[in-house]
Amino acid sequence: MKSVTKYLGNIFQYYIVRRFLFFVLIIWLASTTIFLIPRLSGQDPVKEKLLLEAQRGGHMQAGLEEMAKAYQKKFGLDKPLYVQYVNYMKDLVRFDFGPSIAYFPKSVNSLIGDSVIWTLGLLSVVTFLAFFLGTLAGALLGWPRSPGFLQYVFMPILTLAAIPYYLLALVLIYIFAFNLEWFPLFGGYAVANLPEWSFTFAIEVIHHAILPGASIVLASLGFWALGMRGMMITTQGEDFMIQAEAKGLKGIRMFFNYAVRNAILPQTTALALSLGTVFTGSVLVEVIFRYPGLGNTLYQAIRLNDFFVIRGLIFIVIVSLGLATFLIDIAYPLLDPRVSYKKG
Amino acid sequence: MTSSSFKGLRVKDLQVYYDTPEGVVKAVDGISFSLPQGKRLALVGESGSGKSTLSMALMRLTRAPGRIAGGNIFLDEDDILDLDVEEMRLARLSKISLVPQGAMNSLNPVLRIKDQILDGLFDHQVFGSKKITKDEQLSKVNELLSAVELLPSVADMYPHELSGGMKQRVAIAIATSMDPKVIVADEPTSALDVVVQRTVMQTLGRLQEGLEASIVLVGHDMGLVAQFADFVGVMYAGRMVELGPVNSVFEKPLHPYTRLLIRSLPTLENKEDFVGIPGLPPPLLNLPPGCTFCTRFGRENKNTPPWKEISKDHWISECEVCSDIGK
Repeated sequence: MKSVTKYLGNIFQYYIVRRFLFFVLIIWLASTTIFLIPRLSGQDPVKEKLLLEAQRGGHMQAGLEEMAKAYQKKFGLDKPLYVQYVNYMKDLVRFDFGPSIAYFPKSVNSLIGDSVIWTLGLLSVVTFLAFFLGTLAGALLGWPRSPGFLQYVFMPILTLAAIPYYLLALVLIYIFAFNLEWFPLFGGYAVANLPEWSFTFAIEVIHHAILPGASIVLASLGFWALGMRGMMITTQGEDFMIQAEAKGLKGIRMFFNYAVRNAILPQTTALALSLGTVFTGSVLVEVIFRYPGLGNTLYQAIRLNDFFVIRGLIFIVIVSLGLATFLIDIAYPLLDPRVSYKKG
Repeated sequence: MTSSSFKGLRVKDLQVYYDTPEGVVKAVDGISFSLPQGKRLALVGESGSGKSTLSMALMRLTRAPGRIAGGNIFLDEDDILDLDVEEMRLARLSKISLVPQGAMNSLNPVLRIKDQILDGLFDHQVFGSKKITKDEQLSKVNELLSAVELLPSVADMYPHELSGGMKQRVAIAIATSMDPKVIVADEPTSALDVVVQRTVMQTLGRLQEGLEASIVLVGHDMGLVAQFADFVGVMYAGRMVELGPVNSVFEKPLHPYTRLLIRSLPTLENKEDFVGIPGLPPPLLNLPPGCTFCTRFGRENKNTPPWKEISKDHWISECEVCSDIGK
């Protein structure tokens, strides 16, 4: 027994193991919360629904109790709370979110599966692009040796950060899709086509993705740029920057290895968090462009009271946020040696 | 000392001003000194006297709103204020190098020590244009580290894994990596305890002698200065008030400020009452001409005191109004 605890103690010293356990803990806590919250209301969803329908149809209430019991048995709601909880957890572990209510008998899994690739494809590319461009712009803006004209180029772009991305999306649609007709008005691909793995279809997908992508990139560019600019200016005041100059280093080395390398550390944390929300997408942009992604699916599910789909999507957000944090926790010691894998 | 054959550092009437919205702050106001090759000059003075501003100006690292308003900094024959930006970059580390104040934060926290030693060498083409092997690079790093009494294993460490004294040794290793002619050490030991201070200064002194470099040591620790330096320059309100061989200045201080400064030091013999200097230095903003030390005692001398060589190599800023103070 003693050796077991000692072994466990050693395991806990491993940074990655501790981070992973923390990741599992977060997901467990969050999914327990989404299990408990609806049940705290004390209402019986089946009976409520049946009563509502009965009132609408003007039926007699005879047999309603029996009907409710039958449905509760079907959904497993007649069992004690802990049994329900265990069943719920079993389903979660197998990533089985049950059937969709609105598109019965389609499963939630297949609904999410159809749309996840669109959101993941669009938003992961767009998030990295915005991060890369914004951070670079911010780094150049916060670097005293940058040519002065950059101020005039970047600053107007950064003001776009003040505009909500869905408004920007509407403006972009109006100008580039409606008036100029350079890009399609909506959709992930042309209505007449079916998804297939071909070059022409890929081009079509990219063509459709440019406007929604641009609206998110333009709106979030400022966020990354302003954060990076601030950190660059803070880094300028550090002693090691003076020392770097006293060492007679080339400007480009001071810029990348000294200033950017240190200023980018807080940016990566923000990147992890924004990657975590990639799965839910930018709901409004997907709705505006009728993009076949998760955000649009979530919007439809909320509209149609499709509780199982909503629950499945929320679980995905939780897992992806947790996963993103876990990955950045693992990657962070590589970026910042002061954060150690060993302890602390 | 004829200027044509002079070897070392020669500063002539150097002025470093800070432009502020309220007016010009003359942080260094007309400082001149000559430091022959291989000699050690210590600059002392209280906070705000312009020591650090002067040391940054010697590296031409004065940052806005500061600017070097006038004067010359000769390194052997050449005025480094005449160099263009790229020439100045190449002169740093190779001709004039800096041991920074508080080495705690002067190393890049995300780079290994060996990379921070090597990057300066790479940017000065020390290894020529040809590719050199990792082994050759490492042997250069080890050579520099062992010169400052650090183990080769330090090369692979990050700054946060080192103690304050070790970091300062790394800083010295970097500063001496290209055999500079002048080393500017800006309070190199101010963050260290006295035992470490001593050993670090010994290391710095040994390397400086080996390189036959001149050293400008900025500090306010008079004891350290007395042990280490050949010459001492006393600064007050942006001006040099006394400059001379260290023995001469400590035994026969000629300027009242130097006298009071030395009297304020605790000694083993005199433990009871050491005297402070009353008042504060004048604010440097829009400083009127005249003797800056007189004002501290409510006296006035409207003429800027002349910079005079009283005995060999012993200079003071001679003001007849306040010269009796502290006698």
